[in-house]
Amino acid sequence: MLIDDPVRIRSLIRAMQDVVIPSIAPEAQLALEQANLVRQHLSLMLAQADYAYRLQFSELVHFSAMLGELIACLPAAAHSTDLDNAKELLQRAQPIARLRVPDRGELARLTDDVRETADRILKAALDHGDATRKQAARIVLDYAARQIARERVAVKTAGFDLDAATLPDLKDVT
Amino acid sequence: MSFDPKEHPTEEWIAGLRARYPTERYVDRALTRKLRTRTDKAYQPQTAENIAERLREFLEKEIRGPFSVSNISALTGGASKEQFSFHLRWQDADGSARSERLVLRITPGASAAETHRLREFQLMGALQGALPVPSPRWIDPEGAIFGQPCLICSFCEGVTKPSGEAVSGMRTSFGPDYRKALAPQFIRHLANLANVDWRKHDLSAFDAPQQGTREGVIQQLNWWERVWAEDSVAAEPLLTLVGHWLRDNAPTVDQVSIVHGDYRAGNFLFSPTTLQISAILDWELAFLGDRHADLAYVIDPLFSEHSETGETLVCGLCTRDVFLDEYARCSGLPVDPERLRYYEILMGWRNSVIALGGGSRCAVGQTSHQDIMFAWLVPGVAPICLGALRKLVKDLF
Repeated sequence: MLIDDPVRIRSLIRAMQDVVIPSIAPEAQLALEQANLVRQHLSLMLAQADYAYRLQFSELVHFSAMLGELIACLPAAAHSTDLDNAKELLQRAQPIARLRVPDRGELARLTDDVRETADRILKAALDHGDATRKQAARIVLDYAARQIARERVAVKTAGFDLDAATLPDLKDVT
Repeated sequence: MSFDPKEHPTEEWIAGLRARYPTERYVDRALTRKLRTRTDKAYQPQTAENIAERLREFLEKEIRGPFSVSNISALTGGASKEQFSFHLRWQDADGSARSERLVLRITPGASAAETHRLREFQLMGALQGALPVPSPRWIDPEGAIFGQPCLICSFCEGVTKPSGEAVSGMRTSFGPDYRKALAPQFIRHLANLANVDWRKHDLSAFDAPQQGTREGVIQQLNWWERVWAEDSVAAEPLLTLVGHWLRDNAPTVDQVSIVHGDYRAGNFLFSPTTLQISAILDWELAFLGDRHADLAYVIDPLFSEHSETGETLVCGLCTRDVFLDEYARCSGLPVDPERLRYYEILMGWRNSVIALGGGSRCAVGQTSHQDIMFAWLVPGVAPICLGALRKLVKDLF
């Protein structure tokens, strides 16, 4: 993402802290209390932002392991639809739970490195002959089309895009 | 531990950029100042109390006799500079009481587009009587009193959009009645700007390019490539590709004019009752160069809006054809399609550099009073800018 969640959340905290809260009249007790709660919620979200996905993933690992042990503790002869469904679900969950999921920060740093390196290689290609330059340009333009489509959809409800109504839903974009 | 020079610029790194991207003297000053004052600390917005104190200190040097400052309030509507309006009361030389509402424009820690206050101060002075612009009063160009560079100008009455128009980023939806009244004025003022004889005025903060050369375009490319090198937070190969093309294909300037540089809906005020344009604002990106840059900027899809019947309207005001035809008629100057095409690409690329470079840096570095605005605008505006740019260049390679 162009501006990632921690940056956005930090900007919200600053606006609440530096502009909004100091402007609330002291007698508006409820507004003041709720504004401070907004700031505190945001601070907690900021602290969790890099790790939120990993924490959710840990939950999957945790409950998959628990489910596996609970299934194993039933007598071998036990049989029910619930148990069959549980075994089937566990078969789907376990391969995912075995994956290594990077923290958001690690993922962002790796993405930035790959972007920077792609840009350096492009600069080198642009200094080569016509054929290489043209081929590199085609690659950049093709990938830019996909990147732009993804980013337009990501913010289509924000009101910036004149043609937002023609864009697919966020859930349908990869 | 390695330091990112963009976050912790050294004098050596700054010198390298200045040598690599030579540009106008006052553009260089503003960009260099930005880098030298870049810190890890979040910018603390100005407070009304601080402003009152600094204004008194500043005006004591500028006004003879007693004066008072009151009704200081922060203005909304700008993401770039901190702005406050205030009332100044003083006595004329003959002792008669005077009162005026004024605007203080202060450079924050850094902004999406870093510019020098003296340039806009001089331009506003040069355009008095030619176009409706705020009247410049005083300037603290290096921030000797205010800590940050600033200028003071007259307050202009008016609105930027019809009442009830929602915040939607960079677009403004005018109704048919507003369009009918505003579009001809919008075009006429831009046409007049191209014909202002800038050589008659003190524009010493500008380096005028030679007519018939590529010098002015190269200065622009160097300006914004330097900004990208200083501010970008993530690489953008499309901008690298287009920057390369722009340098290889830079045209000559057929006539050197004052270019506003940010001429669009949202940057002019009008009376909601008479629908007369009362002021053209935000001259900070102005330069001396090719008028096609302003034309290209106006027709950028970023500022376009649909009419009730689905037509695309530039700046929400009129169709592209009407805009260009009327401009040519009002200015008496030709609109060269080849040059216009080049400047559409240049201004689209520049918009992307400002959004993805300066705007992102402000949000990430917490360098301004408007982090929240940049964190909102950048992800929304960037794909529109890049999409428009890609469309313009897709068949050039």
